[in-house]
Amino acid sequence: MLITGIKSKPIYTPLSFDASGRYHILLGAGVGANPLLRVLAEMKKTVPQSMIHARVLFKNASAIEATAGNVSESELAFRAVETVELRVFNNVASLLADFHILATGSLMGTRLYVAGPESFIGLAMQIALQFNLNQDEIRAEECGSLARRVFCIHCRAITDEVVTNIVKCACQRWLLVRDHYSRRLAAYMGVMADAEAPGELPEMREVFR
Amino acid sequence: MNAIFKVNETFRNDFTFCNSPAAIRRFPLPFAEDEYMYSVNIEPHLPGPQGSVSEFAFDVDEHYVAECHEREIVLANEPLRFQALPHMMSAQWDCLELIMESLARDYPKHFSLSKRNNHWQWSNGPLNMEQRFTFGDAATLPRPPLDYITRQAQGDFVVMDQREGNLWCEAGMVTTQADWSLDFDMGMTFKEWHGPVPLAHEMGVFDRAIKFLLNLRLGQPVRRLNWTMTVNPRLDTSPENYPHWGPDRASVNAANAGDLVHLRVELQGLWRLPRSNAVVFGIRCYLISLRELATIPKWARRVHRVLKKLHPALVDYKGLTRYREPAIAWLAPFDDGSPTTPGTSPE
Repeated sequence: MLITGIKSKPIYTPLSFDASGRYHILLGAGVGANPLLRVLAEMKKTVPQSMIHARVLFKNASAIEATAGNVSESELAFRAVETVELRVFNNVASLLADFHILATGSLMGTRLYVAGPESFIGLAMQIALQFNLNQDEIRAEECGSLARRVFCIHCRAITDEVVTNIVKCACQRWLLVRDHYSRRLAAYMGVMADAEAPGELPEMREVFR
Repeated sequence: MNAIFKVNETFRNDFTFCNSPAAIRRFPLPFAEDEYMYSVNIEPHLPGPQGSVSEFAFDVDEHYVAECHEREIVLANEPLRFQALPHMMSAQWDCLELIMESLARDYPKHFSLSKRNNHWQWSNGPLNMEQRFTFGDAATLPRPPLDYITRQAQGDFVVMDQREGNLWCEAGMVTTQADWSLDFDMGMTFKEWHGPVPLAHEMGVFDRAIKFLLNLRLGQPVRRLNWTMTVNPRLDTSPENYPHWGPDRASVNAANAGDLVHLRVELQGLWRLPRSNAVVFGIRCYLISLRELATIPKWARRVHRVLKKLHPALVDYKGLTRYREPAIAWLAPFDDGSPTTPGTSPE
């Protein structure tokens, strides 16, 4: 069942500032800070300060969460960019909830920039999709972990942060993680690995880092 | 359509499905030669010879009633096998119109449609259904229009919206599929949806297909054949239910392959829809056991040769790995090496 070569995975390209936009929403997680800072630098060079409308929603790398009260280097770097509104989150869910509210009130001319691991981009895109943002209005750059969100095709449960070729689902089945990706579900398909011969499982390997 | 409907045949559990000799002779064999590789084998969906599967827009055959019953069983357990995104309502009505008008025109003994302005009356004899409704008013039907009409049709239907120079899979009734999931693939572009198909992307098949389909015209439908194989005459080989049917693949041996292994052929039809400008993709599934197939000597020789020479990537993708050898072994005695005539006709 495992088919290689992912045709259903979106192609992500390095971020660059889009001067045709008027309002800019930047979403980042972990090492995604660097591409976003690059975009902000380009913006400052291109647009007069009084015309800048940019918001950054950023989730710190997990190492920062452990030491509450600490401010990450990324956060300091974002703060150094004047006239940009910054919100920092400790988890992806609250960042996305905030983005959802922001998207509800977004205006024509809004541009979305997303940078971070693929699973983070996928979840952000899932929300953007609900608001019919089209290809010209969204850009994303993949960086960080290749861990996958996996959708069980049998019970519809999601397993997050999957780094291995097979994974045990909440329904107790061992799932083979396929290279078939759904933007709507922001997840890869997981299919029962040993349906044809019970117990006959491939060796577990760490493949998505 | 003069055949008698085999109302009690089943596609699960005791698998009483079988083809009559007449159904075997009209089976749409997808192999015009002794070997197979992908091609953009699209042709106009023009009326074929009398009695053939392409005589009419939608083929209604001896399995019609039983296949509609099978669909009801699937949907009762898994309602998500029908889905439609909200903006697809106009396309749903387009599909309902296309199917009702085609069936009433082509099979007047079994179906009728009468219209007075927007007030329509539909009658389905084989399923013993009557419905008055207002075209365009979903509240006057017991179910969403596409759901309503495809419960009365054989084969799966996927409706694709056209925008941004692409086709998007955004509504469908999919209960008789060869191992792909509507629930998972909803919202995908045509190419994303076909992502798992090996080799064809690299051959440029999908690039050419999408260009062709974006220009599909109203009133000029097209068709193509596709195929795979299935153990037992099981219509619902969905990934959702793979835990139930996967073990079948390990049950085949050279002695039972003739009865267990079925060639599964899809007659795929594509129509442009008038109001929504969407495209409906009909995927009608025909099943035939190797034993039934072998009653036509030319077909036995040909399928034996196609299976022997099949590209390894297709063997894997079509899920044949575990039972291709027994199927070839079962067919071997029917292949004396004599040539086959070109084309797909029985001889």
